[in-house]
Amino acid sequence: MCSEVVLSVRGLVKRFGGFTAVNSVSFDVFAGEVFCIVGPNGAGKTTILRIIAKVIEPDSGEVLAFNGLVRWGSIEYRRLISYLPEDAGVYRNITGLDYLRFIASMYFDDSSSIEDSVRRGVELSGLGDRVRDMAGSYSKGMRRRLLLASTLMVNPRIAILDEPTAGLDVVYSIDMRRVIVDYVRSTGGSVIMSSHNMLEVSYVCSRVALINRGVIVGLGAPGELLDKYNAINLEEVFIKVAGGG
Amino acid sequence: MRRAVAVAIKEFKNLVRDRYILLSVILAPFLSLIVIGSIYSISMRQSLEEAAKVSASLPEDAVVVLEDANDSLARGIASMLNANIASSISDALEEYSVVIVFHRGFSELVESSRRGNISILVKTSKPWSVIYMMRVESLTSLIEGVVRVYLSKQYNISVELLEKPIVFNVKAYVKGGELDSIEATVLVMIMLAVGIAILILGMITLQVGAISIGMEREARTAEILLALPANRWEIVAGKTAGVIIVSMLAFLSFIAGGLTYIYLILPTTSIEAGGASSIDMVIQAIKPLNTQIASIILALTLHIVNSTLVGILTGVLFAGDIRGALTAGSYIGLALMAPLIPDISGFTLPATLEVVFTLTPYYPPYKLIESIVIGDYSKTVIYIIVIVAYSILLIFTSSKLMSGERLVYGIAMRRPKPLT
Repeated sequence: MCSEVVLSVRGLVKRFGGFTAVNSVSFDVFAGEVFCIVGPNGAGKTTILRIIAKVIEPDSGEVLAFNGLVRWGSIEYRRLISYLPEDAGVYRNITGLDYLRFIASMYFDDSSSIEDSVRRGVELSGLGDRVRDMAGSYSKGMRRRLLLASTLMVNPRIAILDEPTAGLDVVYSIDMRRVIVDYVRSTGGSVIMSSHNMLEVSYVCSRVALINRGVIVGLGAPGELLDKYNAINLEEVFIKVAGGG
Repeated sequence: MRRAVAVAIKEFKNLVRDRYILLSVILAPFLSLIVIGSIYSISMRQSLEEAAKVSASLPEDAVVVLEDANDSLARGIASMLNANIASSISDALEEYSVVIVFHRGFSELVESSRRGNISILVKTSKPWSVIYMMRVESLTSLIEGVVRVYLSKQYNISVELLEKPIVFNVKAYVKGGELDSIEATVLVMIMLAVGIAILILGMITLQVGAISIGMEREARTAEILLALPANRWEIVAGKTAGVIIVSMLAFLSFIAGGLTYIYLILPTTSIEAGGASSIDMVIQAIKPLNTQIASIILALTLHIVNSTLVGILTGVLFAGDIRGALTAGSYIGLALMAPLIPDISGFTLPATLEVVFTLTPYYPPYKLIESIVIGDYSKTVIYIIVIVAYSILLIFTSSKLMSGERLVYGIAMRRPKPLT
C-alpha cells in the first residue's frame, strides 16, 4: 500500500554552536502514510521538521522529494508541501477568512482554485460564522483549527505538522486527529508529524521514528515496535530504546 | 508578483487595523504642521508686537543713518520708524543719542535671503561712547519685525509669509530669478514643510517597516510565511508595498494637517496686509508651482519607499525583535537624516561631501526635489537612478538576510538546549 517514497531524508545534521541538535537522521516517508517523529522535549523533532520545510538549512545532509524529481526548497517543492509549526500564531488583525484566502493565494494562481481552497478551509476549520471574526479574538483551540485547516486546504502532497494538538483540550485534540486521518484517507497525501503524546501516536501514525538527543533510536510501525521491544505501549518502547529504563 | 500582491494585501490589513500603528500613522503627521505652524504664528506675532513697541518708544533723539541713500528697503524701514535721517554716522553721533545704521548693501543681503547688516549705537555720555552695539542677528525680533511690516506693504502680501525669506536661502531655489517674491516665499515655506515631512514621515515609515517584521516573529507567523511557496524577495516586496500603503496614510494625514493650518489656523493668527487674505496669497502663489508640488509629492513618496525598505532591513537585521529594531531604527533614522540638515539649512556642501551623502538613502529624494525645483534636470535623472538602485539593493539585502535561522531563533541564533 505504501510503496511510493514521497520524501527521503538523508543524513541530516544540524548544529547550534557546539550543540548537535540533529545527528545523521535518515528516513523515508511513503505516500498515504502518517509518519510520526516521537521524542522528548529538545530531542530535535522540530528542527528536523523545520529543515524538511526548508525554513532552516542543515549543516549537512539532504532531502529528496519525489525521487529527486522536485528540487528541495524550490517553489514547486513548497507548493507540494504545507507546514504547521509548533506554537504557530495567526495575524491578529485579519479575519480567519482573510487568513485562509491569503494562504490559498500563495498556493494557487486562478481565483476559482483559491475560492475552492478557501471553502475547503472554512469547512475543515469548523469555525462556522466565527471565521469572519478577527483571528485575534480566537481561543487557542480555534487558532489551531484555523491553522490546521489552512495547512490541509491547499491539498499538500506532504503535510508537515509539528505537535498539531499540543496544548489543546481533549475534545479539540480528538477533532484535530480526526481531521488529519480523514485527510490522508481522502486525498492519499502524506503527513509527517511530531508528537510526544504516545496515545495520539498510536491512534494516528502509520510508522514512527523514535528520536532522542538528535538521533533516531527506533523506527517502524507502532505494532512492530511493540513486538520488537516486547512492550505494552509506545512509552515503554521509548524508555527501553532511549536507555531510560 | 501575484504572491507579492497577496502578501501586500495581508500586510496592509494587519497593520492598518492595529490601533497603535494607526494612531501613530494618522495623528503625529496631522499634528506636526499644525503645532509647528502655530508656534511659527505665535512667534511672528510676538515679533511684530515687539517691533511696534520699539517703533513707538524710539527716543526723540533717535536717528537713522543710511550708508546708501538709494537703498529703498532701508529708507522704507527708516520711514516706518518715524526717525530722523542723517547722512553720516559721525554727524549723527554728534547730535543724537541713539543711532541706527543701515549698512551699505542692506537690501541686497535681505533680498538674497541673508541678514542685512544693521548696527544700533547708543550713546550714554559725552564725549560719546558706545555701550550697546549689536548686529541685527541679536536683535532679530526688533528689526526683522520692522522689515516684515515694511515688506508686507511693499509687496502687498501677508506678513506671515515673509519671515523665512529673510533668513533662508530663497535664491537657491529660485534659479535665474524665475519666481517672484510671493512665489519664492511660498516655495520656501513648502521646502520647510518638506523638511518636516522628511523627518516625520521618514521616522514613522521606518518604524512601521521594522514593526512589520517584528510582528511576524511576535505573532509566531514567521515560520509559516517562510515556508510558503514564495521567493524571499516576493515576501520582502509584498511587505514593503503593504507598509508603503499604510505610510501613504501618514503622508495624506500630513497634508491634511498642513491644509488645516493654512485654512483654519493661519487666518485666526495672521495680521493681514493690503486687504488680501493669507489663504488667497498662498493659493495664488501655489498655482504656478504645480510642477514643483507634483515633484515634491513624487520625491516624498520615493522617500517613503526608501524609508520603508530601511525599516524592513532594520527589522530583519534585528531578527524581528520589535524593541531592538525600534531602538536601532531611531538611531539609524537620525543618522540617515543628518546629511539633510546642512541642505535644509541653506549651506552649500563641498562636492565630495555631496557625493558621499548621495550614497545615503534619504539624501537623494530631497535632492531630487531640489533638482526639479531649480530646473537642474541632469541631476534629476541621476537622483532617480540612485533611488531606484537603492530600492533594489535594500530589497536584495533584506531578502538575503531574511533566513529562517534569523527569524526563528533570533539575532543570537539561540536555540533552547535540552537538559542533559
